[in-house]
Amino acid sequence: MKHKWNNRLPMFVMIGPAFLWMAIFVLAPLCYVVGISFLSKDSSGGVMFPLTLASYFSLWNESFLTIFSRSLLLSLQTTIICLAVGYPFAYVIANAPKKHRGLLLLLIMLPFWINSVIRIYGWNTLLRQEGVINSVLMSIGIISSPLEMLYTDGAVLLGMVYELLPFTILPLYASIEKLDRSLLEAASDLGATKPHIFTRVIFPLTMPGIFAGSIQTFIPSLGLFYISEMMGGGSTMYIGNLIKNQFLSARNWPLGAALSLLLILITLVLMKLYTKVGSLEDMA
Amino acid sequence: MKKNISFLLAGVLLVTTLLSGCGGSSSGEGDKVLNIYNWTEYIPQEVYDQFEEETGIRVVESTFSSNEEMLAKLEAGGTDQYDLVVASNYVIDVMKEKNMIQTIDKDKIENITNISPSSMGMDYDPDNEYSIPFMATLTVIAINQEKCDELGVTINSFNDLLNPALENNIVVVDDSRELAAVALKATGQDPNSTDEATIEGALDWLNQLKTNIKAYDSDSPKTLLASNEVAVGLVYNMDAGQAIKENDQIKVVYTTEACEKSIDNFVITANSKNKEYAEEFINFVHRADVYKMILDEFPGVCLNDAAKELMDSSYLDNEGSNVDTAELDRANLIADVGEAATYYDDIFTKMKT
Repeated sequence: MKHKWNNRLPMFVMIGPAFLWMAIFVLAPLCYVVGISFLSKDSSGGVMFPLTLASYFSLWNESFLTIFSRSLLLSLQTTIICLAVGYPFAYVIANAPKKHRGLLLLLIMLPFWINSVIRIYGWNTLLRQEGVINSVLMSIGIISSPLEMLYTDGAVLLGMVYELLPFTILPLYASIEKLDRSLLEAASDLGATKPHIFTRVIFPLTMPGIFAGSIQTFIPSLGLFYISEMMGGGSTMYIGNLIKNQFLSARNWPLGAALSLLLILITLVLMKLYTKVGSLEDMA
Repeated sequence: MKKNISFLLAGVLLVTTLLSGCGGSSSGEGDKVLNIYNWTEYIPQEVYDQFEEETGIRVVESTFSSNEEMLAKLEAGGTDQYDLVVASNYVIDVMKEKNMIQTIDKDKIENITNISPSSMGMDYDPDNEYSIPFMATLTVIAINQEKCDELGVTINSFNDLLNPALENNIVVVDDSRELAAVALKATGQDPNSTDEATIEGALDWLNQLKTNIKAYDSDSPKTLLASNEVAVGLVYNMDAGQAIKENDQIKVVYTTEACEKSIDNFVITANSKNKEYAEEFINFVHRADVYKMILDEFPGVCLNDAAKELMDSSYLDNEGSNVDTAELDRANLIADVGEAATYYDDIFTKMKT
């Protein structure tokens, strides 16, 4: 008996801290959210008994449906653009001389050293009517009146792509880098043209990276509420704003919790779909 | 076996350090500390420094950006972590009901006589037993005179905000209550209504306003106003004041309908261990020279008559900071709507869908 315990001890010591961390900071808050979603709202904010399913029933609501579908659409657009931009980007980095690769990757990570709200604010300075871009374009005479760039849906999309592009590039890079060069040579020897090599060899082999990249872009994009507030002028509501409002202005915590759980559910379904086509290990 | 125990101890040690990290910093013995929970950018650091210099009480400030956030935190974390809280008038009732705050010994606050009588003894606390007013906020309409002239727009009533000429030319505060209040007043309803049908009726008006709104911005609407990007703003007076400072075309206009106002108050938490310090601080803030120091940095609506006499023209002539007193008295005090907060959020959500 003692022997068995001894064998397991290293496991407990190694996994214990991580497990505790997850239990305290992920599992416990999640249980709290689940708990709140079944309580009744207190008119002064906060929650009270009795237990009820009311929040879940009120999820079935026309405007929520619109908001969810709009958010999903925005996330989809973000993901597609990130892939279209990120794939060539990752390809170039993966094929760069080995000594430069580290530096190039570092450059991608570099913006993370600055708080993302500040970076988004930087975009505001660039895009606003009296901002840098409009002033430059007007001073060199390309446009005569300032372009309406900030506070549009396009600005929100730009902000999302900007914020999430690194999350697309990194898994793509990992999977492109792993590509066995001899396969490309073999394809070439067998007479495949360059477009052929790409569509028949490179693309299928990097599929795991594409899936991992899209999941890692799509899922966080559902929750980014401050981008639409800062770059879209807060005029369109997305899932993130909706949830935030339930807690901070509508005083309806149970509904906010139920909405969060619905979002988590959507995420889980997506992950499940993903495991059908890719492997979770490619996410790293 | 010994080895096991040492491993176990190491584990326990790890967990306790992890957990104790959450407990917050404890102050040294005999150190006099006053914990304040305040809005962001409301009291400058110099005021705290001077208070410490004069009394030896160190002030530790935590900040929030909405009353709901403050309530949520007090409810979740208990009220013993803060001594003094700055709370808007409409949450005072809730705080009283939930026994979050205690009575204030007014005798300790000699400078209470400096406070403008018009902000004392309001409905939410008729004898000021629990709350001492600090500053007020008025939601005003600020216009860019030049842009409005260009567009041929004049604002005499809230309905003028619906003028099609203002398309995509208004910045408004991102707040369901404030916007609904404008809509309700424009349609002749009670801006503090708790009736579901009445509140829903405001949606129609808000949807008409929507096409004219360029941005919903409560954080820095003065940027859009000052940089000539919008012709009209429905903003807090302090933002209007800052925009006026930067752009002389910005003016505050009052309409036939009254504005909305809120009064921020000092309240002392029920479990405060340093009640005397808190009272000393309230008294300190309402000393004319200290209050002036605050207004110089954050030019809100002055509720301290003695301090107002010390202010110079840059404050007094700014119609965004030194708002019209008649309008301030006429303004509707934003009230707690309890359950109905959900209806307000509903129309806000629909408006943005």
